[in-house]
Amino acid sequence: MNVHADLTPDHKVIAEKRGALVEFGGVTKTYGPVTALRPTSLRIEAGEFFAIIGPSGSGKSTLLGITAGFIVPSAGMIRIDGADIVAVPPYSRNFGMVFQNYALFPHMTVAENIGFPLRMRGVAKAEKAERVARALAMVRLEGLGDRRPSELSGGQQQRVALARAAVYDPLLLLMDEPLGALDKNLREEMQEEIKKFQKALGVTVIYVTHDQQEAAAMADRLAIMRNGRLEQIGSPRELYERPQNVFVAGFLGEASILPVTKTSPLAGGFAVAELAGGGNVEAVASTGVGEALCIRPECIVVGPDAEQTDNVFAAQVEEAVYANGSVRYRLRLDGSGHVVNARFSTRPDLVLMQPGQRTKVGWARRDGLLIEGRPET
Amino acid sequence: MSLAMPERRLEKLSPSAARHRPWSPERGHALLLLPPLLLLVAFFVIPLADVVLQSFAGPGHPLTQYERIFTQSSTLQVLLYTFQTAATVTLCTLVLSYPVAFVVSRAKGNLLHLSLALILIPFWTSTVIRTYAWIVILQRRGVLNEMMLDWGWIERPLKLMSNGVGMQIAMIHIMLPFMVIPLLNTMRGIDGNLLRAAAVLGANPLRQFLSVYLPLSLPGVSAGSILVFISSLGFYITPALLGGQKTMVAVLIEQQASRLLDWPMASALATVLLVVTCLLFLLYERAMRFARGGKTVGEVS
Ligand SMILES: Nc1ncnc2c1ncn2[C@@H]1O[C@H](COP(=O)(O)OP(=O)(O)OP(=O)(O)O)[C@@H](O)[C@H]1O
Ligand SMILES: [Mg+2]
Repeated sequence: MNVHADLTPDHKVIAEKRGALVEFGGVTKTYGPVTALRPTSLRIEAGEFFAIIGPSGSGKSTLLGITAGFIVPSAGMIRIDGADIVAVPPYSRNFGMVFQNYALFPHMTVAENIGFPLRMRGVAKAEKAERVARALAMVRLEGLGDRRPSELSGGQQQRVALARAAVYDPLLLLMDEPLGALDKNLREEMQEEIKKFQKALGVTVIYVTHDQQEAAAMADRLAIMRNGRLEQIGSPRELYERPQNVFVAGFLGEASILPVTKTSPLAGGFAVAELAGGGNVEAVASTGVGEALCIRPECIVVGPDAEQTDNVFAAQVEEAVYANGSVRYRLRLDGSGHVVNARFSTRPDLVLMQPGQRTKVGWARRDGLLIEGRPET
Repeated sequence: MSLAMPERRLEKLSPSAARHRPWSPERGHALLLLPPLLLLVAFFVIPLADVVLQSFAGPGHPLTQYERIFTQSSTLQVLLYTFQTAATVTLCTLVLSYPVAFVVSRAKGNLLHLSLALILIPFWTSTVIRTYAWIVILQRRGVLNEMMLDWGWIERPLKLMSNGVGMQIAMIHIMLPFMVIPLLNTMRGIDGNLLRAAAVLGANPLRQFLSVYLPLSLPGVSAGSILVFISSLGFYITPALLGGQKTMVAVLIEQQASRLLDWPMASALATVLLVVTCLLFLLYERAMRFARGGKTVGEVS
């Protein structure tokens, strides 16, 4: 079946642009009493690299499966370049997908695997061979076309899966933890390759991963998912610097999250909050009035310089860990007894503090963020 | 006969087993093999050798019996009929079992246990009893004919016993578990994601089946088919009780041995059956190895 032949002229233009605009409207999935995906609305721009991260069971694969078409949503719609596709079966959607375990066909050679989508589209033999060869070259697997998937390494299998998903120029590429099974070095190498590949094709990518660093390194925008809900959507920097709630703040990178009791607004988007256990802090009232204070470790000043900051506390060093040019301190604040983590880079002449030592900590009020949710202790 | 499960499935069931070194007789356990080995030699290998030897005995030159088998049209016909019956039974069993195995392979929890029980309970029932049950159902004044007469579907009772149809029905029934279980075993090992992948890549349900599911289920198909075919070749009880005018080779062997007391002839027939069975099995092994390309199917994932 030739999917391109079915496309209206409008779609042809987009096919040349080679990235689909994807819109989800209230997409929901329930399995009996279990809600795998709460009503989700989301817009992914044409050519965007969109990552979804979240803990296990948060509904990432469900969202991807609904997009690919093999999971039927309980409610809601998905629009591709404006057209609702919920009723379109997966084999007519013309999306590419890389599965978590690659899902290569074990009874076919590498070339047959990559040629499979072309065969399904009735591409002529000569053209098929040529496109398979090009796809193999693109993922640097020339000469391995006659092997079986079982005769390839994990990274090679992953590249075959990628070539197979891209060989028919899909408008949208879905990837479900494609690097989950690879070791760290290979992962980083493949991250770069996938990114390059996506730029070259201009294809829209929805990329599911467990790994927040991977997501931040690759994505234009990312969404954090929990319990079937998108908690927050934004660029990697936005999510790190302006998390809206405790879950997002804790999921991405490190953060000191302190409980606050009373808050009262100040001018200029700031607020003054009372720490549970005593002490006042000034911070950014990012989401109105929050229940927790979030400070990133690199924003915390330790030592005499802390006196110059907006929020100064006396504290005791509990732990000092040095690693590759940076040092992490765990500090317990006097009075309230809360723990904050600080991290900064060191120079050879810098004298590190020792556990038990007394010092001052502080941070600028623009670096503290009042966010929603209760910190877990 | 034991169920010859393809061994790689068993490996799959216990991933920890794969990590350990595979069990091998060299590891000092060889002695454990001794009792069954002795038993086999005493009660299987020696009598079997005796049968083969006897086939060369008797009056005339050593190959007299074989000459008789392959020149007499009556014995040739019995052999031919045996193969035809075995082929028909295998084909029908396969056609009946494939959808059943497919559905059961998708089942979970209680439904799965129930289906497995329904498949296995007849399997544990004696073949003699099941054959008699079929006689009761299929004979001229049997349950089936009476029912169809009552409903006016037929004018006169159908002949189901004398022409071998009844025998084949009973054999198919008896053979079903031998087909369903290898099929089920293979089908349960097929990764559902492969079908999803095929769908996303553009295969409609028919092509998903033809290009992905069917080829991946072939090991089960061939294992089940060879099992059923070989078992059918040597089937005795059902043909003896339910067969019509035409006889299967096992029945002929019994006639030669216990009624005509022509032991050399019976032995020769048995040897022919044995050799054919072994050849078929070798052929099957070859075909399987060729199909896998020296590798285990379904190793990826
Ligand atoms: N077929 C199903 N029947 C019932 N519940 C299901 C089914 N599929 C998924 N779920 C539930 O839906 C929720 C979301 O599952 P999903 O596979 O989308 O999680 P995920 O975010 O991809 O997790 P992981 O990171 O472990 O892959 C889970 O709680 C899961 O138990
Ligand atoms: Mg998942």
